[in-house]
Amino acid sequence: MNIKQKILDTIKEKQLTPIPAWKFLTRTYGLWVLSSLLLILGSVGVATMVFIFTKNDWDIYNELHESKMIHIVSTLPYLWLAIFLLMLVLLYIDIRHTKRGYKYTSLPLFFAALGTSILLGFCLHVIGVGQKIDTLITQGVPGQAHIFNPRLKGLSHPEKGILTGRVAIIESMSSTTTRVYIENPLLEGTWIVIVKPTTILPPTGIHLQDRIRALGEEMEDNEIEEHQFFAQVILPFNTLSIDPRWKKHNKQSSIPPLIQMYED
Amino acid sequence: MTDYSDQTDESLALLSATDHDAFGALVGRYEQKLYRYVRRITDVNHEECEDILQETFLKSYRYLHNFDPSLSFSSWMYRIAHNETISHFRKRSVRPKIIREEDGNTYLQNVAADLDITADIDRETLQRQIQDVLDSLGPKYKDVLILRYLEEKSYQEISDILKIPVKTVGTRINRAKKQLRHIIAGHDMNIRS
Repeated sequence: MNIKQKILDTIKEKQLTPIPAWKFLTRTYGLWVLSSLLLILGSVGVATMVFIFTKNDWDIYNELHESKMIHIVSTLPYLWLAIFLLMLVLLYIDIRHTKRGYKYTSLPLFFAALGTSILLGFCLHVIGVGQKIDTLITQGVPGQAHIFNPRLKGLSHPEKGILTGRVAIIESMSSTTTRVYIENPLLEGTWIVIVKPTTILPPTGIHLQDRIRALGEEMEDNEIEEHQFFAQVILPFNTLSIDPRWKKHNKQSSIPPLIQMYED
Repeated sequence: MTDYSDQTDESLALLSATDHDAFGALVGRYEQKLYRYVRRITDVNHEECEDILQETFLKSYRYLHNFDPSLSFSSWMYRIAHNETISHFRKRSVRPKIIREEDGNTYLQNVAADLDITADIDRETLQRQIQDVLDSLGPKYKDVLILRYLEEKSYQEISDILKIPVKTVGTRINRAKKQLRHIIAGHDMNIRS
């Protein structure tokens, strides 16, 4: 057997040279950069999911759904969950293809990737990344934002007494009636929230460009084109705590009317 | 002609990028070992085996800068030889079903030592039965067993060659050993606990 001479002759004849080191380094570092990107993307998904979950209308969930469990299942951000799982799987595959990735058994590696994504995701949520992403999507693609945040669709059912939107115009009709025009890309036509002295308002009032939630009932008026919604309660869009006046209202006790509205 | 006998494989690998003689010395060191290994995991004839070996060494030359110093050079060479052999198989869709006769005794001795068999063995019968077990286990178990009992590689080396976790190496060997114990128990032999 004289393979050695054959090989050396082949190297000489074909003028073979070793592949440059930088090509291997590019692949090595490229895999790690990709892994880092996937980790960050997955963590951004976690941060956004955590944000959406914390602002998930816990103050009025029983107005929206029959039970807390149904509320949770109906408003889970499934798309973000799918994105997160996809990133996680890709991250796992990517790490497996690194030089030393084979040394780790599957389950511990997968759970390490999962744990790191979740931990980083919570950190990103704390610094407001989740909220930022949610806002970007809501402003950037308002017509499709509900796909990322199912909550928006759940709050857009005026026929069921719940309405959400961004305040576009505030029009004082009389001393007792104010019309608040809102924009909601999920609903057709123009929507006007009617505010009366009995309407419970947010403590800081309503301003232009505020996002609000309104509980009340849809008013049918065939004489006008716009849709009207009489608001019994107007709440800020994102609130964690239940307004004590809303609690009282819910128990149908009498509350002195409180009107605080500001126009720019 | 430079004498490379006092150089380690790893230092020769470093020199090989610019010194063909150094690479020749490496080929000389691994030629026989890898030839034996390739023949153990294939049923190819001598010429085909040489072809696989040539591809292995040429690939190792082209990928010299990809050698990971945290591995032993031996493991790296075996890994390339293994992968080239698998590529060759994929073209032929055939893998061997027998342990070669010349390897039979070595294999049996090493397996017997590992299982602590004390009694005399009807070697021919036992070897056939062991071969049946191996065939039923599939190629991924055979690869591990050949590296362990014929090439006498450590678990870490097998892990580096086959690119599987050390734990998986252990699992596959243990599973094969369990089945082998079952056969050996059927021969009424003593197995030291």
